[in-house]
Amino acid sequence: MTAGGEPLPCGTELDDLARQVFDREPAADPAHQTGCADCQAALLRVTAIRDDVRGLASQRVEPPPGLVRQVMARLRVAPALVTIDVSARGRTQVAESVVARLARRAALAVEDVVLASALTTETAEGTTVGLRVRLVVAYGPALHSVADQVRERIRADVVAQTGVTVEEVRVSVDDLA
Amino acid sequence: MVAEAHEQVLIEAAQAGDLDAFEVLVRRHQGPVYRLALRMLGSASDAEDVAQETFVQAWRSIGRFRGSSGLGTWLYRIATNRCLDVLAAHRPTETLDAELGGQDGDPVATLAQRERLRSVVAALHALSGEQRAALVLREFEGLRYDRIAEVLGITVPAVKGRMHRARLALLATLGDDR
Repeated sequence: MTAGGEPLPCGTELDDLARQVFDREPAADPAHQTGCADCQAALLRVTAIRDDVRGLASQRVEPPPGLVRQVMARLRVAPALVTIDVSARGRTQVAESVVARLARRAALAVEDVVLASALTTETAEGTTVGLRVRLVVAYGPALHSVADQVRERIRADVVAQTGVTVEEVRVSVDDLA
Repeated sequence: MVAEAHEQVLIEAAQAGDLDAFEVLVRRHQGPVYRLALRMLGSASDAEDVAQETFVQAWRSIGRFRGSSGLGTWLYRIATNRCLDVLAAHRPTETLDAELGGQDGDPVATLAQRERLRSVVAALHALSGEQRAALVLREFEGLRYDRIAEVLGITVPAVKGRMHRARLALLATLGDDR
């Protein structure tokens, strides 16, 4: 095959054939192409190469199994902490993101909640947090009722698992599913 | 959790600082980002490093993301730039054939097929980084020219010029044994 940008012996530019094969553009000169042995041979070669490129492209490539975990481990360093217990034996703290994650789980447990995001807002000195919760809710039920259930569930679950009292829970319904 | 939908809600949550929302986005986009890096770099360990760096950088700058063309395009852009940096700094690694997966079926056909795929991988790696990026985004990731222009930060005519040179180089390398 001709190297670089040299045209075929018949004068046709190889790139015209490449665009035709790779990008499905129409032939520049269909009448010439049909009867030209040079063009037909080159088309066959270009098509074979395209098929090999697509063969490689269609190989399944799976990301390494630990990728997400490693990324998240790098991002979760040095978290903000909430104190959940102080006793003579020592102090117990959890990351704010742990409280947020518990809150998210609690919100997802409420019927009709299809997606939830939770962030801690202010963390008071002792053992209280505020939360900002965003929801995507299934179309149907009254939204204020879903929001109330989410608040109740979050308060109950977070206090049960951490002892942290949840003060204000700001809930927004960002979308309907 | 809903699979494809609500990307915008997740992005806004991540922009507000929600790492769990960002984790969902990482999970969703890790495949394309890793695949791009692998085809650009040819080495699984380099590709994994670049994929990690891409998402760490994405988290740091997600506040500035304005979703005109989608998170996927934006991540491709970060990943491509990372790959080009690696290639510019790099000793070439020679682990190119590590990623040719075996396929079921006729072992003879498979052997011949693997040989051909290996020659495509080698031809890809004979291209300049810029040409390879254009070709990989087009032929492997299936992006339109205007998206590729966004990813590479160049104009559509410039993308077409780069693609033209990349294809001719590929045809010249691969044409001899066919």
